[in-house]
Amino acid sequence: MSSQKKVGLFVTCLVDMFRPSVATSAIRLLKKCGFAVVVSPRQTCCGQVAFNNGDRDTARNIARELLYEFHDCDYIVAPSASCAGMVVKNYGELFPHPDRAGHLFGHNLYHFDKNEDLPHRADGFRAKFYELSDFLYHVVNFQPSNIAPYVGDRKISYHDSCSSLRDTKTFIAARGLLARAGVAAANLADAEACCGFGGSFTTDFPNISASITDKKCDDILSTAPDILLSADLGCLLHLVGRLSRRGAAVEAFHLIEFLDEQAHSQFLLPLGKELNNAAQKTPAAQQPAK
Amino acid sequence: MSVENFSAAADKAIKNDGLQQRLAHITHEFINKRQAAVNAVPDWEAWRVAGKNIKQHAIEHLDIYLEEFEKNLTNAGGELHYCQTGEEAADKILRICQQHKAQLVVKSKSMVAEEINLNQHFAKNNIKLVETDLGDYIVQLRGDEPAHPIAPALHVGKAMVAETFRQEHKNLPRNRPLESIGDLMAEARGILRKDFLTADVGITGANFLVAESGSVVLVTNEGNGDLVSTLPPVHIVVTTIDKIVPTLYDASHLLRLLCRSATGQPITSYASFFTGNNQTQDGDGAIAFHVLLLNNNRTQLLADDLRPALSCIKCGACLNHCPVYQTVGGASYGGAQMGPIGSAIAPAISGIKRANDLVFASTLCGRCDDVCPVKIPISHLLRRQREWSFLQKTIAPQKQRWLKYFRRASQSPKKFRHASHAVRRMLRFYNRHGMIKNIGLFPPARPWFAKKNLPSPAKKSFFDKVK
Ligand code: SF4
Repeated sequence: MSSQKKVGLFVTCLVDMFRPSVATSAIRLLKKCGFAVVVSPRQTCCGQVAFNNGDRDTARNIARELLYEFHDCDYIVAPSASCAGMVVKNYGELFPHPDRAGHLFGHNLYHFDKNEDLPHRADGFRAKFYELSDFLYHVVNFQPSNIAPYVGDRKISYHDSCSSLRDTKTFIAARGLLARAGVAAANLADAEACCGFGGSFTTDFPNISASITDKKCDDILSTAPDILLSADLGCLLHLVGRLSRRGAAVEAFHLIEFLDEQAHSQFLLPLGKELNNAAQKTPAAQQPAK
Repeated sequence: MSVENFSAAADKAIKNDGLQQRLAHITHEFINKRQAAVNAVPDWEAWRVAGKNIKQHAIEHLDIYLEEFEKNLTNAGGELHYCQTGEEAADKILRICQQHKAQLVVKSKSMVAEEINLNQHFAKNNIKLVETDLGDYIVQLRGDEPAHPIAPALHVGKAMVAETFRQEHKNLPRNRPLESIGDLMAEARGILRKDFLTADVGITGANFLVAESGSVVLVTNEGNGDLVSTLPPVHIVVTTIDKIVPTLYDASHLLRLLCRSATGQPITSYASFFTGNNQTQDGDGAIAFHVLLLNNNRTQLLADDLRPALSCIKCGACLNHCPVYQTVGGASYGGAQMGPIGSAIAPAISGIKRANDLVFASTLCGRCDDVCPVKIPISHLLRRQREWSFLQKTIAPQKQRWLKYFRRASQSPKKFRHASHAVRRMLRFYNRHGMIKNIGLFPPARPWFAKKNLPSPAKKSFFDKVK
């Protein structure tokens, strides 16, 4: 690549809080692919929490901020199909072109400043926005070095998030990346079924949620994995939380962490594990990009 | 039971092991059969688009097609009645039955009758009303709520059916075997046959209303629909305005979609077309033929962003594929509107306040959208209802507060980081080697820990490190 293209990394709120190593891994991988990586300290979240709970105005405010924050990037990527789905599928609805505006019981839901030309901005933003594994697989044609030796005979299972199956339809990219890395990942039995997380659904209806999750946990455990991977941190937090409550130990990693850490033979503790003292080893290259 | 008790009913359903097993079994059967049927079609997606277009067109021109239907129905000797509310409809049906001095009424498959509480209304007015669909019959005998629009008695096991029959069928010999499904069917058929032959009025639902011919289309698999509609002298069809389609051709395309999506059949055992009474043309049909068209606030859906909800052809595919429905069953929804599409429609019919729980009872996984044969964006409709709920402030107070915090925190990156920092610190206080098992009394996140742990937040967030 002659002139470096600029990739904006959207750090999801869950990654920021729970698993910063996903972001650092993403940065390392993207840099390795020759991109200049930028993160925006002004970004908050993708707005999905507000949008899915009916607070359209808040969702739109958050979204609007992002449109400006990343506007000079060639691409924007998120290590989550859930957030990518929110952007790609729903930002168009948050900023519709005038002919598409609608009503809800007489409420005009689509009032925003017409002078900013947000609909066109949103279109451009959406067109540049990718789920990270999809970006690596399809856009960059990324070839992970063979990581199978590091995996050895440890069994790996992969969980497809609903967003990756249906919103972004990027589920194939994760498989492709793993295959290129020489890793054979087991598919779950009812792979198209939801894990039961559903954002605030799990706190609104904890019992229903757990009941749905148990089916997924059974499917996971029946593949007897040593490592569970997914490209969505939300599902993983939820699944690991339930598995742990059930007394089942499965090492879970975000796909991006796995590709990065294993390929560079770095050491990272699985989700929900922490060493007793401050002795936790952290990856060397945890230098965030400028 | 009513729609506002969803959570409590759901919790009960989850603890019912027998129900859980049967739900898992039946929904899987439905899913597999549908998939096989869909795979056998060269271009299912094109069929879906065509189906969607037919319904959308019909709904957008409802006024025209309803008028055309009325004209053709009346010419064929039928009578059309519009009813605004459920009570009005139940009352109208009762009055028609009373006019014909009915003592025994037989009924086949109608979720609309459920919606308007027809059975209870008849019981109050001392007219015997018998369900003739085997599943509905079992549900009626047991005094239950239907668990599925197509398999209403899926929650009742074989042994339970036998027990119910032994209790309710007065002349049933003790030694009569009721082990196999065949035994049970034979027993029910023996009882129901007498009712078919002596009934004064038959009531059915409808799958489609054909404007160009004034015909009512009904699909069944047991044949009871035909007996109910042809043996008694009076046939009453109770259905809703959104069932209208322009032509017979349209109806036949939707039939293709409906049967495959519902049961995986290319066509059901019986697809009946009723056109008017026996005075015209072919001379068959009931002596009196009435069609009741219920609105019950459906026109409210017509007037806004929720319009696609009216395209539903009630195949049940979205229910079968819904993780929430699979877990809680149909009765938990507390009414005739169940599953994802039911939750999207229920607020119009029961009011957003009462149906508030339902519109949030979805993970928005989107599987329903993918299987809907007429491409209704169901999860999108649920979000629209949530917006309505948000605007009307019918969301639970605690959650409203929580959303307000979120709204405030999201106003600026600085506030957002502060809030996220505070939550992280609070959570980390309970961290034990990377896992949090409970968090004492901290309210908004507490339900998370009812059934699961939470991997701990990181010591330093990503943006802490970038700073
Ligand atoms: S909304 Fe559900 S029941 Fe209605 S047509 Fe679509 S899949 Fe079938």
